[in-house]
Amino acid sequence: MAEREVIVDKMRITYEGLFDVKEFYKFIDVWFREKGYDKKDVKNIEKVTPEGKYIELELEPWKKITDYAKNVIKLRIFMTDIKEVEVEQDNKKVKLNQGKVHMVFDAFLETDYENRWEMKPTFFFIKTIFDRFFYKPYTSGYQANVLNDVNQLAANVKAFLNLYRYSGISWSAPGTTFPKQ
Amino acid sequence: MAPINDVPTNTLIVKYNGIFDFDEMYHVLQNWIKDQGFWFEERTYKAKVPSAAGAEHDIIWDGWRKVTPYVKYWIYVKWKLWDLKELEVVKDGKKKKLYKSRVRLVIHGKVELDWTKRFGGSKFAQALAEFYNKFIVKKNLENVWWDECYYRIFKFHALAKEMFDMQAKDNAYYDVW
Repeated sequence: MAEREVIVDKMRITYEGLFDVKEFYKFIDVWFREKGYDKKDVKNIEKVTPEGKYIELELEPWKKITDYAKNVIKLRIFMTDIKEVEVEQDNKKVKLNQGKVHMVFDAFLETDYENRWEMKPTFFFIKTIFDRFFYKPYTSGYQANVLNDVNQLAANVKAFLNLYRYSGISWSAPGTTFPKQ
Repeated sequence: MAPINDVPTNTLIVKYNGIFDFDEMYHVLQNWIKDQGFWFEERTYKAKVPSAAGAEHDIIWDGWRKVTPYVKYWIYVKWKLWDLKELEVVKDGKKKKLYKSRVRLVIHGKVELDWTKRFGGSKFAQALAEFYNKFIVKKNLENVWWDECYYRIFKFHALAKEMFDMQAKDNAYYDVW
């Protein structure tokens, strides 16, 4: 079984207000396509409730970097009380949606996804030694790659939802050395 | 060790609760499978006795398509409908029959290798098959066959979302395969 290293653990963005649900999903979809990720829609749930629509999406796109490492971003989107509203923008009536969005981001670096190095204990031992001592620069590069992708996606989502005032690096890895006292 | 003959694709799930045109959706999705060159089989259609809450239906579809004498694509669709009720709606001045229901659609597929059983039953032949799948056709399997099967199934998934008129019905990968 492949080894999954957690790079980003449940990073959340919550928004309540006006936005276009269709454009929002399309924007995320196009972003993953442009970044070279393969698509995986794990769940797509839509219910009509008295308070409005309830939409739940679970996306888990992946990108193979090498035949050993793979980026996986897990994105869960929960939209509640989604109602259609008409808003005037630049003297034109535009149909938008009003509701709450809650997004949870997880990112993983999956290594040995072809299960080549887990067949025998000796192979597993060699793999662990190489991963810890010899391939560390490559692995840390791959980790930085995933982190960068998630930060970029979060920043773009915030910009889309007009939360640009609060944008910046959403998640950063802790430093490896402690600051001098 | 037996060679890998079936390479499954990811499972896609769509759940919807609301009003939709079940008759049109049933035919459109069925015709899509046939138009893509798949042989279509409706393995099961269970229609349970309707209760006060509505009817319950279970439908299982299988589709397969020969790609090469070594590779076959399979698509499996499982429908589950609960509380299915008929509604009459007036749209553009015309009466239309629609349905209100809770629906769960589970879609997955697989790439079947060596469907003609060329690599017989002997242990040596099985070992050859394993070597062939792991080293000779591996790149074709990952980059061509699995990819094509998966993205075609994804188009079916996108069509199902479109028939439900879901908010998340867009597909940025519409032109992949």
